[in-house]
Amino acid sequence: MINKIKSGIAGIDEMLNGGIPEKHHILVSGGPGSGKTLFCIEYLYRGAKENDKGLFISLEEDPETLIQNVKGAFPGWKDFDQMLNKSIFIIKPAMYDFKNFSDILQSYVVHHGVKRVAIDSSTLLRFSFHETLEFRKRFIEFLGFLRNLDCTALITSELATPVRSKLKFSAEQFAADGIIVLYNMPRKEKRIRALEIIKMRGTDHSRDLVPMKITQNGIMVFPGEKLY
Amino acid sequence: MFNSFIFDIGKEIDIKKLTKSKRFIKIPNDNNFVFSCVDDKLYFIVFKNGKVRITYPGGDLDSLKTRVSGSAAKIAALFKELSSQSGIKFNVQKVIASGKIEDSDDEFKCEQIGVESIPIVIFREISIFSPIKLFGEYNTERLHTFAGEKFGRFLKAESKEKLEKEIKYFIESNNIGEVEILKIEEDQFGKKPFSSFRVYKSKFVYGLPPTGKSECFFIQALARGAFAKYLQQENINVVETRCWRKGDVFCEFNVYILSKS
Repeated sequence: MINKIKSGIAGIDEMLNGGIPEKHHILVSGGPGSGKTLFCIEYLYRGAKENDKGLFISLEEDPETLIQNVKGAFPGWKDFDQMLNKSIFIIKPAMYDFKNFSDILQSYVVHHGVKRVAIDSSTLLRFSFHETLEFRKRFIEFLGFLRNLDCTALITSELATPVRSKLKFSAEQFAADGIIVLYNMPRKEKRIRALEIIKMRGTDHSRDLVPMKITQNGIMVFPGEKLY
Repeated sequence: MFNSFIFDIGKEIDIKKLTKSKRFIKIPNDNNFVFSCVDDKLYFIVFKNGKVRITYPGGDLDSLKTRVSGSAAKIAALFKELSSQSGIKFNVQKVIASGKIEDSDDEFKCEQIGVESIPIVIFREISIFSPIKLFGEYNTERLHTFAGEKFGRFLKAESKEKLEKEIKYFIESNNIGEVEILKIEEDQFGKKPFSSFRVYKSKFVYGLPPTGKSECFFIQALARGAFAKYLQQENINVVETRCWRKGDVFCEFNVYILSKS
């Protein structure tokens, strides 16, 4: 039987029938402003509360900026500061170099006991490759390597088309163990947030498109509810 | 593709004689060639078979031509120095005029690596070529990184300087290469590394044809593990800025400390 780790994000574990299968690596996909980064950081925050060390590899934002953004989005997380550098590590590699990025990840997992990893985002990892084919090959090898490490990773990826009916999936998404898609959908004169689990190997899961909210205390997903 | 200008002196050269000149740099324990740096990263390499290669690692053919024509006077001076130090008389202008652009790497195929325990061909087959065929390039790179970090974390020192000496001792005593610790200078992006060192005759790449990529993963990880352990932090980035496989005549490593949360 596959062990599962609880994401801790309200509503997600229920949709996943208990949690994310351990040592599985999940793509968190979505368009701009859909909440991918916050989703990943909350995964680490909830893990830290359960004494799981987490590593956030930010390829885009500086750690300082990211921390300020997280504090702005989740002012209810009073203990977040105390967790930094003790149970949550936020790192930005010096350059978009796949090797250096892999070195840091391997080092934290093997020598620092990190159990939860978030990588933001796989889209920027492409920059260290001249050709898409080369990137895909390396990314699939990278997922294989991750499976041998004792960690469970969330990897964000941009969606070229954030429109649900026009979703297209790439080779990376076929290779990943799971795909969670976050939406920022237009509804009349505003946008509403929604989430769906497209795929999750090793567990049964909800196939509903459900509403999602970003509150002061974290993300909330509402399984069983319909979008309005 | 590894473009360079090839010139032929026509006679075998005694490399030892050239090392008396301050303008030529010798690789430790190697009498196969000497080299000189002309301006920024343009190499003037003299091989014992009488060939001279001018190369610009990392650059394309156009940038090589531009740099060679821009440094023509300095290159001519090096040929004159080569003539006077080696004792071989030749017409400098004639030799320069005979220069051809080639992408061969014949002269780089050096076999003079000191081997004490295991033949180099077997070592490379087991550690590099077979793993690449079986597990792919990325996983072979991870394998070297894993092993390098493991050994790096065994190295202990009370100061940065002592740690650099430990790394040098480890590499040299295990016959992996010859190490030169460098003074800290700004890199091409204006950043100052925490530490910088050069490895001559890296056992992982020396004598192999250029591929355009840095490939001394074990040494890179060795430094990473050593500095991570010494500094008690994991956010260490070691970049191999120069490598034999990129067309350089030595491998160079910069150690950076990344910003963290």
